[in-house]
Amino acid sequence: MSETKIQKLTLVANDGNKIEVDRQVAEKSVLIKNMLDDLGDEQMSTEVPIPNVNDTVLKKVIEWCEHHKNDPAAPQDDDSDSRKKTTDIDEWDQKFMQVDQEMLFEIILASNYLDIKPLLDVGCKTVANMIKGKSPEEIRKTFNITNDFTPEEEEQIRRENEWAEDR
Amino acid sequence: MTSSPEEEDWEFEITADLIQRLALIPKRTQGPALPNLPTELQLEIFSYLDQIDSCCLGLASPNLYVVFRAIHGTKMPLNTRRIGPNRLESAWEVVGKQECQQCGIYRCELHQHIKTWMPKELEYCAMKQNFGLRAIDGAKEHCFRGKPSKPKRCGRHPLRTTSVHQDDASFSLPSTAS
Repeated sequence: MSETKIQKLTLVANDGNKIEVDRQVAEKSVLIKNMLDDLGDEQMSTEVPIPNVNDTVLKKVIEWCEHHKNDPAAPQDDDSDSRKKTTDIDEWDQKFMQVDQEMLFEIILASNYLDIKPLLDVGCKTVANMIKGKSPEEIRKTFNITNDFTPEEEEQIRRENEWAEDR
Repeated sequence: MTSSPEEEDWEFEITADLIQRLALIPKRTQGPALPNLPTELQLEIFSYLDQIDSCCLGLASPNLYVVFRAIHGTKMPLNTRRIGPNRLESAWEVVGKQECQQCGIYRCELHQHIKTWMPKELEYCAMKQNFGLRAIDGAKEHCFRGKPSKPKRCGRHPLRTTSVHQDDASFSLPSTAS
């Protein structure tokens, strides 16, 4: 099944921008890979619309796929067991993830949509590392979250968790 | 003092039960921000966090609290700890001093991490394992068993009552959640 000639694929972001990528790179996305498998190679000349992802984010995702194109495929259902997950991230990925938060969450959403599990993992680990060791207020500050709890809801949380003495 | 639940006792595990609880969380508007991520992606992030960090993340926003609650349930003990060397362990010599912003060189416990979230007039009692009114001026600096015959009586917080037990009510998201 492996023809040696490099095949190109054109991805179209939701703002109409076209990006040409190697098939091997595009197939890091399980969504695209399955689609190509289903449609067959005759469809290779056709453009692939990616309606949920904009140009900037798609370029960023492709940059990651380019760098990781030769990675061995991760064993399937690797995460099905309950073992503790580490949050270690390799150096290149750490640098890659040094983006503003909106981009970080866009990458997470895009990798989820495109079904690129290793990239999704890196994104979620990055967010988890930003959370570790912080208090709730510090987490809110880090992610620019407004406190949407009413005092009554906070009281309810304290009560249902039995964190405060009964007065 | 009763022993703290150790982190090893708990493992992240996706069970049918958990999925069912998650399914009860209402749909929400989505966007590229932490509280608005789809539930399954928030679950993914929670899966990298231990109990203490999960709890702190849950207390950051109602949308995150319902996910935290679906995973960990309620009544996480305030003396929940994480794996790691305590201040007396020789591990310090190897790994260097690793101070937690909330707990300093002491071993992390949940109450330290959420104390700023609790009302200011309350403080933690290690004997009763709950938050309550502050000790009076001149009280001993640390919690201790006040009376040998009463294992739960705290010498620093003699007036402290225990938390009243409450069955889980459903936590409803604010209707204006966006």
